[in-house]
Amino acid sequence: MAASQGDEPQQGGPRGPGEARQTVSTRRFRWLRAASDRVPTKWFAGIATGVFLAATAAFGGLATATEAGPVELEAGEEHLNEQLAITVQRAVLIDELSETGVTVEPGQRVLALVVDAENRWTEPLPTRRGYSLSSSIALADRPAEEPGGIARFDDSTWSPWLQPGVPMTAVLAWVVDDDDYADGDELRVVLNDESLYTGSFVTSGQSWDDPRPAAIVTVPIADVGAGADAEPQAEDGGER
Amino acid sequence: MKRWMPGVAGAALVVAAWGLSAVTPSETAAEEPFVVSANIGDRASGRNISVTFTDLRAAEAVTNDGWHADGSWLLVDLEVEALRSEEGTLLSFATLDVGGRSYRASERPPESLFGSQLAIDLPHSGSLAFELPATAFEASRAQSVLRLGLESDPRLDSLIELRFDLADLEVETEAELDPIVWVGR
Amino acid sequence: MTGGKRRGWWRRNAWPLAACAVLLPAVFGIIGWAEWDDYFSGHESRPITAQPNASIDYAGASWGPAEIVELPPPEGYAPPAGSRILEVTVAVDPADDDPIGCLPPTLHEMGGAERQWDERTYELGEGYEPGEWNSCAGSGTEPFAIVVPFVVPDDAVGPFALHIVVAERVPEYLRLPLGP
Repeated sequence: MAASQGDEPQQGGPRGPGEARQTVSTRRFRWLRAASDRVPTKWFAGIATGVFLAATAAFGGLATATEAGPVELEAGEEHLNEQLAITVQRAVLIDELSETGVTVEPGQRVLALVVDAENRWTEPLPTRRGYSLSSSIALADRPAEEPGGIARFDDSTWSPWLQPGVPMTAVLAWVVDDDDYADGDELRVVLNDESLYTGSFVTSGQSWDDPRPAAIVTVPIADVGAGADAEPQAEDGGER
Repeated sequence: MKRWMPGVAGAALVVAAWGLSAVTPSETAAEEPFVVSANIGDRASGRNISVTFTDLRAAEAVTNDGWHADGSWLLVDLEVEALRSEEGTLLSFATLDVGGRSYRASERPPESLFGSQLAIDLPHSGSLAFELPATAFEASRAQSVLRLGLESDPRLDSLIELRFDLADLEVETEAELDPIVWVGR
Repeated sequence: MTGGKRRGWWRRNAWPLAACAVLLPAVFGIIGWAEWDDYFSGHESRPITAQPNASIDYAGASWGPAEIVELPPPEGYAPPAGSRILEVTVAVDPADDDPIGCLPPTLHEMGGAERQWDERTYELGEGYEPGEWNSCAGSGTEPFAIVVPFVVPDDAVGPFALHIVVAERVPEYLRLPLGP
């Protein structure tokens, strides 16, 4: 937009009635110009860098912040995140556990975790492969292997859903070689935190993904052999 | 051009932009389900589903076909049928929204209408069970929305919707899911 | 800003405008047709229709004739109120040496609400004497018959057609008109 004459009185122009006012305003702001002339603008970059570094130093400097490693927990201690509350109760080595949906070949056994879990989110969560408990709980020495089967402890519902705010005791089962673990071993269980993603464009809705280790639970393994009463016995009509 | 004109024009454009953004439908509007609201006792019909809610029951324990579970349960008794096609027509979507949280019909009872096959114009009667947190029946007001549909992804198909207050229900100590019966009409 | 000037612009751009008038609808038409064709070629959309009480070739086999009868309720089974049981029998002759594979047939109402029913062999319980086959799965290369019962509401009076789909032949499917 073309500047009209009236827009910039400082530019002078033909002397007229505005002249007196102009002089007054120039005088009134002269100190400002004088001050701004003295500002060492060439140092701005340096000063800004200094301020930035000082601020960074207050938070621990430019070195990569050390992420807090996974928390160490014992069996029975609860781990909380935005999605789930998880308490690993015990670990059991058993000959077979078809109630959870796993089948064993000769030379294999089942390592089962009994876990208390609660959905802390606002939507129901499936526990099948890739979701909630299956992607949140892993064995430290086979971190990429999701449980082969998962069922409710009380009525052995397969791959049960976690309703918001409704606690559940679940049994997670991994098929292992029979010499992988032994009675009394300290099992290290990794609990992952996941982030909530909101779909856009072709995907829609929200989902939890990107599991990252947040806690490690140490739990002793109990070998119950073929499993009499001590193992996660889950039968129809079972009561808590 | 008058000096004030650009300012006024600019302000008018800002107001117009605000108004436009206010009336623009959300990104999901084009794929919303078609909601049919229902009342207890009345038949409500969508594209390929028709539902008559017959009763709502709250209980601290439920039984079904030899299965038993404690907890806070809402039982929904209903009759449900298909209208046009039986091909892949299952009652796959059943959710209850209450207190900012969403619950899915429980897969635990061995014989519930959740996931069952529907028949054209010949209703099945039975129950759906919702497992809720222990405190679900303690609130003095609990506006609830129950939605039923055929696809687990409910977008762009009919949803039958029942609104009620969970707090209005009397809590029984134990309740049994209705057996699934092909009642016809 | 006179009418003459404006007509001049239209006249000067007559050819490009004509091209736009043809090409724009053509673009949308072709894209739309391609999308719909893509959709229909993945769904049962092209019926191979037999004459009533006649057989027809489809997917390397001979199908039909097909007949429909109303069945009294089998023992121990109470059909839902307001319903009746229809049973359809289809003779199948796999002409090739290859066994054919098809899904259980579905029953379709011709005209009216065009409703479609799934077969209900298992619904009818122990008292129902099922045919040997309710689909072509595992039926081998010898001639056989598919027998499928349907439970339909009383107001479904036909005429009906039986649809049979051999997955490899989609979008073509077999349509066997039944009875009167």
